[in-house]
Amino acid sequence: RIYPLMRVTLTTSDGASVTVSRQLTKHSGFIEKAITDMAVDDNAVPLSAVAVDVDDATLKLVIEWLTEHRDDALPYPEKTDEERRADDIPAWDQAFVQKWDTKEDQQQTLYAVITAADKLDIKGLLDMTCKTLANKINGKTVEEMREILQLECDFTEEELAEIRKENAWCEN
Amino acid sequence: MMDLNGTFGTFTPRPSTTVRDYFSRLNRDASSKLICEECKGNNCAPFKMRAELGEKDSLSNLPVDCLLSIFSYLDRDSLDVVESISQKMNHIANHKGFRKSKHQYDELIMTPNGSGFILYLNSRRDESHYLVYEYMNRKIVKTEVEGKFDYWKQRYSNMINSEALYLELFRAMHYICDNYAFFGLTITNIHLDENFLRGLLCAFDGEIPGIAMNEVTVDEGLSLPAFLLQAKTTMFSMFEVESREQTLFDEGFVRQYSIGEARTRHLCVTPKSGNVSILDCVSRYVP
Repeated sequence: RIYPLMRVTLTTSDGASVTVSRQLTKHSGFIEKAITDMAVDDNAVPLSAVAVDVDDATLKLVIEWLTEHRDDALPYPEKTDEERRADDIPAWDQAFVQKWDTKEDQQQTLYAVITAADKLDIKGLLDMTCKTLANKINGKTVEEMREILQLECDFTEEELAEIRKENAWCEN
Repeated sequence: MMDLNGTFGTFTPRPSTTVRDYFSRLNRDASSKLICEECKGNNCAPFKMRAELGEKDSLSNLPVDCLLSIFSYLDRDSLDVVESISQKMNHIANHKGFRKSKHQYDELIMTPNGSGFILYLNSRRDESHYLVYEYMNRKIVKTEVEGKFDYWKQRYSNMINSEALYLELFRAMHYICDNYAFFGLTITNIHLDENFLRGLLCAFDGEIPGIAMNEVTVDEGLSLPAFLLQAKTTMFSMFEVESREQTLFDEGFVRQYSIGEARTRHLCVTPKSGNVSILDCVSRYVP
């Protein structure tokens, strides 16, 4: 049972505390499990404290997303490989990401939100942010992809030749 | 009723691993790193160097399950590019548990060519090119041909059914099935025997949703209906059928095949001559 009035205090990795409604935290598998593990009586103890390994700034973004999605159905619908598509991100989510996902930031915030969604086990947010990153790199060349992802090539020439040979079978 | 069980042997299909299934096989060790149960944390990429975490970028620091989730949204061409950007990305994209998306085509056409064979991969949506896999000089050669695939302009001759050729043919088909997605298989000018059908089932991991056969001959005693049921074929067409082959499809089979398993099955057999005994053109049987 979820008690809408019950509030949960989250302690961030940089020492800040944020109190949020249980209605929001029900979307986080990690927080729900932590509350269950503490064996608190939902009626008797209206406030539980949960330490999360996420910094304050990232947690605020996560809470903003959770607030918008507080009424989403649970459990999060699982999709088969065939059903998975990256072009169905809701308009609000797209605008939400655009607010902070700037070129100067080099996706640092996006990576932080993905990691936070993974740690807190928020499937909807994880799915949306993964799609966002996938959309950025889909259809790009090797060099473009390295530039977007800020990755350096650590292959030897022989290894690259081996990969090219392997992919030559199916490349269009 | 004919015996429809196990005629073509038992096939163990590749596990239909979804990303979620793969995640569930990952365990976190004490330091909270994800460890794969299959490789026990060892690098299973085909490279000697171990992938190291980059310190500059954050992408490399993302958990493996996040990277796999991101990769699951990439098309096959982009995944091939991802393999080339860094060792860690290559390692993850090639992990056994990760099912890559496939290049999208509509049809795989198999036909003999002299003493060898040709496999055509044809897309009706993108007619700018088609792919040809040809067995020549004991090896398979791939060619990309520009322009629209013209089925009727292809020239065929009878293929010599030899075990060595079968081996190469089905090896090529297995590779194609691993890398390409298509709706149907078309077989032309080929003599069907038990070995051939068994090889087809193996190449397709026991499931061939759509099959069209054109000018094929069938071994005496071969149960084509049993093959179709075992291959879970939902769309089957056979054109230019000689009268002898019509007896392959008796009424019991048509009923069983057409009712299917909650899915509508389509069966179409078109005779070469106008003299039709059992099935003229059977389509969408309604019991």
